Amino acid sequence: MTDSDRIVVERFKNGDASAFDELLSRYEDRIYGFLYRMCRCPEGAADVTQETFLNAFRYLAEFRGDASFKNWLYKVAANSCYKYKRKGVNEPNFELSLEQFLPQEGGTALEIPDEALVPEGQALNAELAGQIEEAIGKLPKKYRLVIVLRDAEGLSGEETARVLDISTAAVKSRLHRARLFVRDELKDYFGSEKAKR
Amino acid sequence: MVKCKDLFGKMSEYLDGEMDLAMIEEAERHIGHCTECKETLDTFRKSVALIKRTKTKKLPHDDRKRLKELIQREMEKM
Repeated sequence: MTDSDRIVVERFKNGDASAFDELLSRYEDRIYGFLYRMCRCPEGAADVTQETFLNAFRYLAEFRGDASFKNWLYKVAANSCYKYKRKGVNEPNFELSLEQFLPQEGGTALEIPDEALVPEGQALNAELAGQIEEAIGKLPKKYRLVIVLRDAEGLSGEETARVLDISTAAVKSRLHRARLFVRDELKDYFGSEKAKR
Repeated sequence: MVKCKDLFGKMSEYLDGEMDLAMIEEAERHIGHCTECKETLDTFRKSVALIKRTKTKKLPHDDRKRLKELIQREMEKM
């Protein structure tokens, strides 16, 4: 926990309810961004963000401070996210194996041109960014949670394991398969980009 | 001796710096002479970098306002 989060949480626990406003303004965008990737729709992400912060408000007094406030909040958000079901849309539900991604003899090799990788801090080409988000959205939740927490939110393997209550070995395994899935999904995009060049 | 399939299963560990030193040496020796694995690792590295560079969305203004009001109501119940 950063010192400032710890202090604000303590203020809240000591009866200063307004301290929660400060935590809200620090983390509302971050949690919404995480949930946007998880829920795959703006309305769902906003609903689950609301539920996350309401639960956080109700249960913060019980927070013991073993984890950072940030990671505890991700845990609350991930739990709300598990319960969320998008109306009229079936959640993907399948297992990923390493074998399905192994390069096939005579198969089409993926080529990602260097120019696709813009310098850090610069926005990716919108079409490409959309393809990546779509590919992540096709993953079953258990894989999506791991790739989003690790690669998009920047949590470590151990932090991700604690947030999701799974082993670090499970995080590694799910992350690798999820990354291979997204890489595979980009084949069509880069294939058609190559054809345009 | 590392085989292509072994390396394929450990590319994330390699990129994330979670591979042990002995395995890194073996992996790099393998990549040094296996063009297929070198290319696979290159596209894998690029795709992970792309995932990491997607921008996050911000909470829309109306939802931010609604959330603040909801929390305010909870505070009043305390």
